Amino acid sequence: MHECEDVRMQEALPAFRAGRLDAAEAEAVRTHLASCEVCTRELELLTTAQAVLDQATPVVDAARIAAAVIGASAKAERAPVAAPRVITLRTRRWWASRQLLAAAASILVVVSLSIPALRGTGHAPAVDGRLDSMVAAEMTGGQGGHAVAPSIDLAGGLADLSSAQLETFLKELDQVEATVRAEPATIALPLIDSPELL
Amino acid sequence: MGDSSGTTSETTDAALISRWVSGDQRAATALVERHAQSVAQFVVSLGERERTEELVQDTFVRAFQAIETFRSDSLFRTWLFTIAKRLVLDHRRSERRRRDDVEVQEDHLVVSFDALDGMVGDERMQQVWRAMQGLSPMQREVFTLRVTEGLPYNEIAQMVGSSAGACRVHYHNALKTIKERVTDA
Repeated sequence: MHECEDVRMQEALPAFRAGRLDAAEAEAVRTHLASCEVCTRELELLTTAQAVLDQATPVVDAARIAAAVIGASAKAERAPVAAPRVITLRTRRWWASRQLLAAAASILVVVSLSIPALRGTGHAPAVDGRLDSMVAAEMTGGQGGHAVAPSIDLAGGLADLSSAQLETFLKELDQVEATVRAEPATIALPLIDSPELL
Repeated sequence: MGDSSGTTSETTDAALISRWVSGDQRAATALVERHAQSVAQFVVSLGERERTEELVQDTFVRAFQAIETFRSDSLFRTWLFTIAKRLVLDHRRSERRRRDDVEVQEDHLVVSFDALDGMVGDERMQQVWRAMQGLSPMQREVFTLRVTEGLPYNEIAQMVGSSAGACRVHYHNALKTIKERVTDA
């Protein structure tokens, strides 16, 4: 048998047989086939090969396969992704103690930073005694508030407190309301009447 | 265009896959019905006629379990063929190990078509069938993909792990062999 000289058409035969060409390409192949015996015979051979494979292939049960696919998917979804983490009582206690320590440390840091800052405020010429009374006033909730009078003298700052005093102070802090007032207590400032500042 | 591309006027493969991912089980049924027989034919061309349905089922189960990894720029059916071929090779390797503990290479995709002689109808079909038996495994695989699916050489090359040029040579050598062995071809 001679070979077809139109290689492009001959190469297009499998796709033409499988129905993978667009309308224009398919029409071009049909036109070529009308005048090419070599390609016509080759196309017949390809069609026979397809028929042979069709005949040799058992018909599979698509519905049964689909059911297996869906079943396998559902089974995969039900499978646990990871084993749940077991938290023992000991672990829980350890975490609880860590959290308490962290909370206590946070309070200490905030208080130790805020007291010196209040002392050094420029427009609040408070002396130690007045600051203590302000802190005491805050702790008592202001006028008419619930009395939680500080039993510790904070004049020297937290650094001067002993461990026992610090513990007492922390206990007293626990009784103070967590919500602070939006407006700070008014501070009676001395009148500035110096002529050079006016 | 045929339905092999999955882009017919009906719902496309990509749309069905999206529906399946969204939880529509009917989409899985539609995809299986559309491609199962072609996958079966490919499995038979690899010489696994006895276990065709089992392998086709395993192919779909694997495919749907890994559907997120499917790239929409390739054909779903081609992807299924790749999975099916891997399963066939895995099966052959485990069978061979069980028998004589010898590693099976890809070249060992030997097809025993003898038992099928009686199933193929007329004389010409039997000639074509026997001619296909004489092809090398690679020639037969490339020829089958080219004839049944009309795939271009570059897509076949990706599936069989070769180059497009090599696949072109395999196809034409296969065609030449079959023509020589079939009268009036």
